[in-house]
Amino acid sequence: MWIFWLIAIPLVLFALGVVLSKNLFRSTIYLGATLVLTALIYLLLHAELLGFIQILLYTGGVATLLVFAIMLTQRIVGEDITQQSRGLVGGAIASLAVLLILFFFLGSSQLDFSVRPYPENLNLALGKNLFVTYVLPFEVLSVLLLAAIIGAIVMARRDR
Amino acid sequence: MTVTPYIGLGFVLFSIGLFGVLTRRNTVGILMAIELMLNASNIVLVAFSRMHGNLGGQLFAFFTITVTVAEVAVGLAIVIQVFRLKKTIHADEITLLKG
Amino acid sequence: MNQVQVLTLLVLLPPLISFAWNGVVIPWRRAGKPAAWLSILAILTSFVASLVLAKTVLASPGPYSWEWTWLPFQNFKPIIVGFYIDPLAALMLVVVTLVASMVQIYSLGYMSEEPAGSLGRYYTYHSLFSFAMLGLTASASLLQIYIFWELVGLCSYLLIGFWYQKPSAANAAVKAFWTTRLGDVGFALGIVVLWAHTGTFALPELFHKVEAGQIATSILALTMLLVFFGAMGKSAQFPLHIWLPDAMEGPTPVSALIHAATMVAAGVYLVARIFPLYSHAESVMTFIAYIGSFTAFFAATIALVQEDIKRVLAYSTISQLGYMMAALGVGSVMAGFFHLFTHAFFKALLFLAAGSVIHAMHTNDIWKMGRLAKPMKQTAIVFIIGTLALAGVPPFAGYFSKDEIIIKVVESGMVLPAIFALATVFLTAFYMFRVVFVVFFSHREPEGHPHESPAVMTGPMWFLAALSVVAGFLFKGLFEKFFGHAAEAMETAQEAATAASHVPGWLPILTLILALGGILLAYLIYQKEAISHERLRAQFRPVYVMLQKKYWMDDIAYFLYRRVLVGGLSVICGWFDRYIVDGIVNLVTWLTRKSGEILRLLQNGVVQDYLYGVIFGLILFILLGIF
Repeated sequence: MWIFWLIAIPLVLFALGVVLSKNLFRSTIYLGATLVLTALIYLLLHAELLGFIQILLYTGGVATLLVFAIMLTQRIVGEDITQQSRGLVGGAIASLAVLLILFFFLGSSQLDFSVRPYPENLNLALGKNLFVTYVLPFEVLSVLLLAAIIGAIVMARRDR
Repeated sequence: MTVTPYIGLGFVLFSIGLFGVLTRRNTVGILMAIELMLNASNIVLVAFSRMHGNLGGQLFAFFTITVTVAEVAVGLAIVIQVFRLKKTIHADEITLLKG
Repeated sequence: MNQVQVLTLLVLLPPLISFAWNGVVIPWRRAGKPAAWLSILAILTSFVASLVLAKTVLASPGPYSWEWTWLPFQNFKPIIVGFYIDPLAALMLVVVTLVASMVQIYSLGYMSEEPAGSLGRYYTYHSLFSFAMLGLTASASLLQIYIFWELVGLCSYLLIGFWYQKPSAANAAVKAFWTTRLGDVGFALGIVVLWAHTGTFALPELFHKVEAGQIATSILALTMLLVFFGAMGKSAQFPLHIWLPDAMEGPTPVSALIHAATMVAAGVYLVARIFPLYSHAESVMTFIAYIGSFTAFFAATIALVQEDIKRVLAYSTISQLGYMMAALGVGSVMAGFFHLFTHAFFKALLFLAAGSVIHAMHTNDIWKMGRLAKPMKQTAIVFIIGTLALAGVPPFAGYFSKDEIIIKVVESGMVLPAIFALATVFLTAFYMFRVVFVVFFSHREPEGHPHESPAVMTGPMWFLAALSVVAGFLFKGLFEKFFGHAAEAMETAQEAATAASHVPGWLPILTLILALGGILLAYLIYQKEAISHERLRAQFRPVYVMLQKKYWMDDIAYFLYRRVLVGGLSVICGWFDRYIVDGIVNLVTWLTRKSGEILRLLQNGVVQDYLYGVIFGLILFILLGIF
């Protein structure tokens, strides 16, 4: 259990850093750290494959993309990368309200939260699920990715 | 072992992400906060998957990650395009929806 | 389908087809003459069919009734439409088709100067009117009668206002429409109340129920009174008579058909049609008798001083309709309907002859005419035939029917109606011969160059003139056979009351003397000028003015309409509209605008602020789910 807390507390701190940091670059770094720590959480939850994919895709892909975007806009704006926040109090109240409600549900839930065992051969079961049961959403997702790439290129193009 | 702490962690991360979406002025910052929220929901999904001993939750997290990547790509493209149009990346200065 | 059904459809459908064809399908109305020929062909077909129908029905009286379900109800009996043919309806169909045929043929000559489009419109209206009137006659349910009733009212409106470029014609059309509508409100209320209490509009069923005593007397009296208001409006009974004289603004053949022979008789026909119901509402019958006889007398007095030839005839029509109503009021369908029958012929004839005069002179003023007997010999002869028939001189048609009415009225023992009826005989003879002498025989030179009308006009006139001569003695037996019995039930009921007033043998002689006296007086005043009518006028100035002003009835109606309805009601309505309705509207506008101004603050365009709304809504939903 202590491993969980060892991961969870820095995770929350990094997340707060993402939303509070004045420096956009730092925010990105914190986000990367958050994502890596999340991958560790996945490992704790016996979702090893997902954890590695998380590092690969998120930390490798998304974080890089974000850095690109920041660089691009900074270069065009020529502005400092410091960023401000607005309505901190309102945001805090709203998000705390949501948090309270979520915890209220968690507290009042009648569910049994104890862990049940996964199938014997986890990776085989995962592969079967992914490529047999959910093969259609999987393929549709590939189309979505293609569409997103084309859309991003078209939108980001400078001239028509 | 129970998954309750994991779910609580997801909720906390979700709220932090929501706070970021609400307060960030920079559009790229908002995007990051959204990533945070999606990440939190993934944690909760995986936790429930573990709780039920059902792989569906994990698979859903897979799909979420994939969709998120697409979303980030398109979202950043939109940010850049809006930035070209309005000469700002501050969300509260982009008020095309104003009535 | 049996023979009667086929014949009834043959009577009803040709005018409808003609109307649809000329008006909508292939608009021959724009071409004028073809529309006229089609319309005449249709009405002649109807006429022939109605003759055959009458022959069939009179051979075996029926009544024939057949119905279709029209509006089915969940908890009530369905409303039916259908036809109800008995001798009354069959004879009425003959009258309508006959007069309509004659008038339509006559109109070919009278309306010859109209442009093609206008002529086509005229005949299209005529076809519609014929269909509506025939439908009204043959209807098997009160609702159906009401629908056709309004339809003939519409045609009347359209044809009075036929020359709508003339403001007077347009106004007269509106006045006719409004005044009759006033009565129709009563009619509509009456049949609805009756329906509420009996659950049916169907005539045969109503007759059956009333015979079985299933309708409470009070309800029957109330509804019959209300229905009679409708009849009063349509048949121009006092005080709703004011529209008929103005209706003379329409083309003269229209006056002959609609405002003399058929539509205005619809009120009389309606009362005769549902007479089994009326005969059980004696108080209403008495009311009808008084209204009818008073109208007869009242209108006759006004007719004395009219200077417009058509208005004299119009008031005469009102007076004669009063006679018919009086006859029905004392319980004699035979007398009332017989008079309707003969009156249709000679009054249509008089109007057509008057139209012929107007066509020649281009004026309605009798004082601008004179000595027309010489240039317009045929018109003069038929006019005199019609006048003699109207005045009630034997052996002309009017003598038989009017005598019958007077006998019945006197028999009833009601003193005032009897006096009115007798006085009207004298007045009728006087005012009609006043017109005859002034227009056709006086020494005054007529203005312009009058000429005889073409054969297409004189032909129908001669036909009607022949009927005006023979209809009385030829058909009296027929009417007695079929409608005499309707009165019997009534008579037995009243026998005890009226036993004392036996009809004196000298009554027919008295009426004859009165009629001849009227003629003689008119001769002395207007032909011999033994008594100067100017001196008379000066002597009886107040009376003359009163008659000239038509007892100020128009002014009273105008006052009621203008000052009370428009002046009073509209002030209230205006105030209400200005301050209450407009106020509410303005308040709503103000509220909308203000709330919009406030709400648009929410729409600041910042996506993050919208997100607060989403969260707020989400929290609300969750709270709703929890509690």
